[in-house]
Amino acid sequence: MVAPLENKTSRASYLTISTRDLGPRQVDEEAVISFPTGLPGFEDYRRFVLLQYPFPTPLVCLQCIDRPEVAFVVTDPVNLVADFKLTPGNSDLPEWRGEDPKDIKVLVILTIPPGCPRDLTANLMAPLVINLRTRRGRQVVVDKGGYSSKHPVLVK
Amino acid sequence: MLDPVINVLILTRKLGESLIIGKDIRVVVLEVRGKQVRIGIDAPEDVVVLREEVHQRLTQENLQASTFRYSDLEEVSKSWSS
Repeated sequence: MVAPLENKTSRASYLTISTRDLGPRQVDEEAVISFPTGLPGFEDYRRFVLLQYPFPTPLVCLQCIDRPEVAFVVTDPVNLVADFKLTPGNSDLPEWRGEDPKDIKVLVILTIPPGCPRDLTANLMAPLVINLRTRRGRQVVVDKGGYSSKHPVLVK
Repeated sequence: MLDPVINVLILTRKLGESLIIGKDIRVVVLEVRGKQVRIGIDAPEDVVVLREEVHQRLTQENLQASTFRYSDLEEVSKSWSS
């Protein structure tokens, strides 16, 4: 008996990507996040993916697909500031417009000085806003709230 | 800040008057108060508009952030939870 065709073909398609620190990885094409304007300093790199690190951590890897050596360490800002708020409605947040808040993921980029990891800071001033439905993201600037681009993470 | 630019197009505008850049960017002078000028910008969503000093700070911060060492991440994670 011939098995039905549906059982043979998986509907998800996978990309094999190279990563900065995590070796080659297979990622679901649907997991790709595009940053149509790139990130300041990295304007030419548009496609990223979020990867887990192989140890217990609140850190997440934001890996560039277009250029394997480009990756950032990001985390959910609630790990840093319990009441972190990004006020929607700002006209520079097209990712947010008309969206269900549960489809919006906010992450912040961490700066970890090589060799002095305990001096790490978080860029709360310019979080990443990702629309999980459209898989589009953007680094936005939070004008109000007094959030720093070098928010210290560990209390000394 | 950028170095002072000498060879730039200089135009004079009155309050409420605009400039068109390319085919879909409009810049309008909204208010002039002493040394401050309020400017309105109407640009497509794929055009990033930032204050120059903010753009520079974000660029620097992102460049620094990308230089982390993978070998530091476990230490960070342990310190984080303790």
